[in-house]
Amino acid sequence: MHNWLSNNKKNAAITDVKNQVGGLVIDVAEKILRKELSNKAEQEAYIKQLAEGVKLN
Amino acid sequence: MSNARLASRYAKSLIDLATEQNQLETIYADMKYIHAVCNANQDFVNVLRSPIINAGQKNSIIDAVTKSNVSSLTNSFTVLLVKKGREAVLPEMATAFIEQYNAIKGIHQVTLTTAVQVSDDLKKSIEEKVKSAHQFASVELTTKTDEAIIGGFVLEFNNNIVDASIARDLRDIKKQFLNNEFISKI
Repeated sequence: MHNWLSNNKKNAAITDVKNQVGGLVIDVAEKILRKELSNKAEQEAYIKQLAEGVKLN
Repeated sequence: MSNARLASRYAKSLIDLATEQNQLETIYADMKYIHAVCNANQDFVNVLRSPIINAGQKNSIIDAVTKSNVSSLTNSFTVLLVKKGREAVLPEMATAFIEQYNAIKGIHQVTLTTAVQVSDDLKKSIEEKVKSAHQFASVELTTKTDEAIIGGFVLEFNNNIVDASIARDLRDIKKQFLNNEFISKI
């Protein structure tokens, strides 16, 4: 019973770390994406590629 | 204050009258013009809605603003509105007219939002894509720019939104990191 409780705590802690790292990664990713897409040509290329693949219905 | 039902009734009669007189395109252009004027110039709308300015003055103001740019049918229509004391709904009427015209012609309004201005080629190709995907007879594309979406595009049509923006992708991923199943949520 104690084993189960501590296992749960361990998982909670791991998930918490995972979430925090995930949050940081997204913040960084956003910055990089903004930089990558800051010029017009890149934007257009990306939109073009996206428009090919997107399903509209 | 604004009266959508009233506006759409007047708009419908104007459409009927215009069709009858074979002037639908002309009146459509006029309504587009009035719509643009109302959007660009709040003062004009304020004049229309003002209870203090009397009918005669309103007539001459509307004349001064629109007469040189609209057809005689539209002109007599605005005179009629003032006579009936309904000039306050002219802006809504123009909007309703454009909507009804679009419905008749099978024109669908599509709004494209991107992070930066995009080329006409790209707009055309997206327009074609929407057309073929939904069998729209024709499409009127309006474009907006919004830096907050970072990249990609957002399409709005027929009360639908297709969100293919990077902001949305990031938001979706972020959501996965928000909850921790091992902590009880009480």
